[in-house]
Amino acid sequence: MPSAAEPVLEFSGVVKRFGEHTVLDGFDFALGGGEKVALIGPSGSGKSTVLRIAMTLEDVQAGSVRVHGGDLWRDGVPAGPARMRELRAHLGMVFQHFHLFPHLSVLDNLTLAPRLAKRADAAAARNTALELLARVGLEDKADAWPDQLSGGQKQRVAIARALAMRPDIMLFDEVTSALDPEMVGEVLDVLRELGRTTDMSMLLVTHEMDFARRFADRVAFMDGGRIVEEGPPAALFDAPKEERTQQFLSRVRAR
Amino acid sequence: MAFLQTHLPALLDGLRTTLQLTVGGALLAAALAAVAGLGRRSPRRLCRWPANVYVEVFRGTSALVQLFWFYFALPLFGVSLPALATGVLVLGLNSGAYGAEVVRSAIAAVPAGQWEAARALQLDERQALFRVILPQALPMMLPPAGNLLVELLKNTALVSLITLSELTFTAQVQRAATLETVPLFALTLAIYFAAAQVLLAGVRRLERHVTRHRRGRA
Amino acid sequence: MIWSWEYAFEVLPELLAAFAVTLEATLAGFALALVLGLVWAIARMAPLRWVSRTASAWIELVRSTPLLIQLYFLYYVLPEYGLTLSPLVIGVFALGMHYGCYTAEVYRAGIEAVPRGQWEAARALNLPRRAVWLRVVLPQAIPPTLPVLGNYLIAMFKDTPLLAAITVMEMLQTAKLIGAGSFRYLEPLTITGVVFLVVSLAASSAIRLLENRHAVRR
Repeated sequence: MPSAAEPVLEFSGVVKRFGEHTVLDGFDFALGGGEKVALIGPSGSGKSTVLRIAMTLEDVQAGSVRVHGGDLWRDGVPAGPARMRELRAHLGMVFQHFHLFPHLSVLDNLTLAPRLAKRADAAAARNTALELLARVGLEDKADAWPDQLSGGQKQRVAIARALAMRPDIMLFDEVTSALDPEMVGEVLDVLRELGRTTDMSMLLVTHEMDFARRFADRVAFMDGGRIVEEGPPAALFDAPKEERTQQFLSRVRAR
Repeated sequence: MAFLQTHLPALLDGLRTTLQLTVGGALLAAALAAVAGLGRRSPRRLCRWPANVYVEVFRGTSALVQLFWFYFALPLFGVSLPALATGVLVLGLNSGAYGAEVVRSAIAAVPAGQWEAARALQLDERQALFRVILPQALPMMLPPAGNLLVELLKNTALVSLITLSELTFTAQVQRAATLETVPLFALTLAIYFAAAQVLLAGVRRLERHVTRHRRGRA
Repeated sequence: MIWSWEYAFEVLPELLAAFAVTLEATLAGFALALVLGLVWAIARMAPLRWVSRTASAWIELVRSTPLLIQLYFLYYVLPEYGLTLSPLVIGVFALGMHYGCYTAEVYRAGIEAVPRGQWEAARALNLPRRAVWLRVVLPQAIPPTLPVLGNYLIAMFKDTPLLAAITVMEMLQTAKLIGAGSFRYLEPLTITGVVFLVVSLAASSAIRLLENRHAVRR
């Protein structure tokens, strides 16, 4: 459950432009410790950009972004490289297209970063990796290669890989959108288990409305680069207050 | 045959020098291609500009002109190199410039998602480049590198014009002595052709070795 | 001072006059290469196996061996068959023959890039064979090959200094003779290099512009 203390991730008045196109226009958002938030909205609303900014994959033209109270961006000015690396270490991200390293085995995919970045030794990294693989149900695939795995398996490996760096904030960018329907369930199961057994803060961009409703503590609806409405899932899905939210939800349900 | 007995030993001697030029030039070219290829990608102007100038100058001018320029100009600056060293230097500089483009475009061809995944795992630029990107870029560099290697082999013939007795020079000498022009040049061409095939086979072997983990499975 | 501007300007006119010879050789050689390439390409696609195999082997041989040897070959052999040609003509012939093997591959790749469906649709419309080639296939095959052919033109331009080896008075040979006469090689060789650089950079930019305009239309 969300804590009443300071948010672990906070956006204030963030403006993000890609050339002429403004994607985020005065964006405000806060993620509390241990909170699970689903970010929904039409394509182009800037949802993925929010995650990418938090993961320092995109820059910001104006506004502030704070991680555990530390300034990643302050009034459009970035933190220095060392500080940014320090703050970034709190975050992990899983991508829509997995981005597993094709030249490494599954096990090596998981142990590379801990060995390089945290300087854990090979044995410890290997043990952690095997534990995480067991957790996502793929302990028998440790020596397999990414191109031998199905989409659902690749995504589960990607989740395990991100967990190996022990982030306290996990970002999930449409992690089931690129999967065939029969594999979506196995990935959602992993997410559910993470939500139950850890106190990580989780921010998910997703189109899986049923999942969001049952899993999230809070749902935020985004449109035109801003949060239009947010609240507990039941309230937002059943009784949306804003017209744009109603329109979006009815379009999604009509499928 | 008497013909082969007369000419082959001399030609093979010349071939040895040709191979020295090829190997030396190739090693220098590989090193320069790596440095310049990475330099061209650098966000820092101090790294990018020298790399760009080097690549444009050595790709935009003729290899033979470069050879003569270094042969005549270096002594003026106090550097006196024997013909073999000058040949290796110029061939390396010339092929390295073309190689830089091969390196740069192979790196650019690795999907952006790989960089992002590396960053999301807290790897810094250097770690991402060497552990994630380059291992994927390397197999893409090899086929064009094989072609550049054959080009380098062909360019070694130019060094005969600054009087180094590599294969072409030797063939000329033999021709002047015996006037058996057609068979002699035919034999010389055959030797170059064979050498080119051996080099290409070597590169293909290297390609197979580098991609060994991707073959023969689902 | 190692470099003398005064001397540089003194030798400039003679070098620019030699540049005319370089240009002549390049353009004539390229025209020949375009024509010969077509001949080799057609031979390669011939239904008779021995014709296509011979053509492939020939192309492979010429591309894998040094132009310099091929140049010497023609220079020494043609007179033996009673053909007394000027060195420039021999040089043009050698360049045309060598690069004809490259243009042949370009033509082949261009034609193979036209989707099968185009051939089938043309035949389904009962177009005569001639129209199939001239109105359907070639108009689609040729435009993508133009930038590649342009690059080979630039490559040939940079290979013209090889003609110095058979005494053609193009730029490099002229620069060498000027240098030999005055013992000052730096200025003539540098000017030669700079002229090559400027021309090939300009030509490369022109080709890129052409490529972009073609790409936009698709």
